[in-house]
Amino acid sequence: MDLMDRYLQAVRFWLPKDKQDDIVAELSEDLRCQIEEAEAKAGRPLQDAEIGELLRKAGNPLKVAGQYLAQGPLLDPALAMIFRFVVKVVLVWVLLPLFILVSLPAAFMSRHPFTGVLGAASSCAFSAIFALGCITLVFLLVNHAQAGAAGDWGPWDPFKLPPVARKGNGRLIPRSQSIAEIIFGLLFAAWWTEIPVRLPVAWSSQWGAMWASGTIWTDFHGRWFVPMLVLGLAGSAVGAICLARPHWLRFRLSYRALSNALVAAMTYLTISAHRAELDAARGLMHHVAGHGAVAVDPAGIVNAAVVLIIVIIFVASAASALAQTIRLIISGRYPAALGRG
Amino acid sequence: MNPDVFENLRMELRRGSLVLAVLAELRDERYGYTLRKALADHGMPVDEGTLYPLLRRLETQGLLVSQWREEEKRNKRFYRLSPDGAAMLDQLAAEWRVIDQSLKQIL
Repeated sequence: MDLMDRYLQAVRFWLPKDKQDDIVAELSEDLRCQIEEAEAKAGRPLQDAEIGELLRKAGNPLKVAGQYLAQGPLLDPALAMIFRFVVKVVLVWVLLPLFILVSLPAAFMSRHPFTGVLGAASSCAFSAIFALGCITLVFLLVNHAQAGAAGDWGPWDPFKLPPVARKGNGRLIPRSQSIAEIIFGLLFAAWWTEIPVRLPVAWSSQWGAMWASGTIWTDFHGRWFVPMLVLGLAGSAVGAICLARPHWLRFRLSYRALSNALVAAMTYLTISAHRAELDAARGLMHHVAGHGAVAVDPAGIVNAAVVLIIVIIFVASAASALAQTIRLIISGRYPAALGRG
Repeated sequence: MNPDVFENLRMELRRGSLVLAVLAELRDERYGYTLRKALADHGMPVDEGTLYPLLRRLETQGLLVSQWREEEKRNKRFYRLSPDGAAMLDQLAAEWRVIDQSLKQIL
């Protein structure tokens, strides 16, 4: 029955929340009746291949779910469901966080916060309209091609359906985590590419103060610019893959182990090349702890903090890489270990 | 002749008559699977992805009433014709006979 549960889960995914239980219960009952009848006819329990064939006849889960929705004016019901899903992801998980994290702070830091917020809101609205337009256009083209193919969703394989998510043991990657990874990777890449070596510190820009970054940061950013950028974008790509394949737990774990190991290596090499700066930062922190920040250059404190952050990143990423590698090895023997943590 | 075109036209033709067949079969209370079997036995096979959404639409239109009930230790949703549905069935059946007569003359 595992195959049938996987099928019902796939149908449920595309249904409106308030109708999911009712529709799935009825569909489940029908499929059970079909299986029982076939078993009675065969005089034995059905094999997985036979159940798979029965589900294949029942139809692609996306198409089956789409049949429960009213035909829209522009799109096929099944396509309309995907359209709504994509629009929701783009608006709620991409544009809204971008607006909150990027546009609003920039607006508040401008000389006229009200006009700044208005400007940010209008540019965000423009982006939303543009994104909606592009998405709609793509879906209309797909719908047109689909109509040409007489609504055929092509061959599909019930055996490739994701395993059933069992509540509480985390055997599937939550969608919210994958979406957060996509957004985080993109935000990191944007921050990493635009960060200049000499940055005005946000709160001090009004006073004209500037922070000149220390050599360890300049070296870290310059030397590892491309690898870190690739890691950020790869993180987004992995998030997108896990969104489509939420059961690829080992794939995500492998990527995390590898990326953490790479970050640990990069930070270690940078720290090794800047021992003097590390010692200076340690000395400065001792001084501040003992005497307070009296007569200390603020930029020096910021740079010491940057050195310490790089050290913390090294320790955290090395520990994570080790833990994830151990989990990968254990999960090779005991797959249930993947669900933990 | 394009077989896809034939298939589309055949499906359209059957879709129209399916509502009438479903309403007629639900003069007696049935649950989904037995309804599907009854339709298939009368030469109107219909897949679950078509039948259940149709049943929901007919219920929303007030032509059917449904009830979840336990039978053989399993929960099943039973459907039957509502008074409005019975009246609708009479009207549609009359219309069907007119169409049938007309088509017999035309064909």
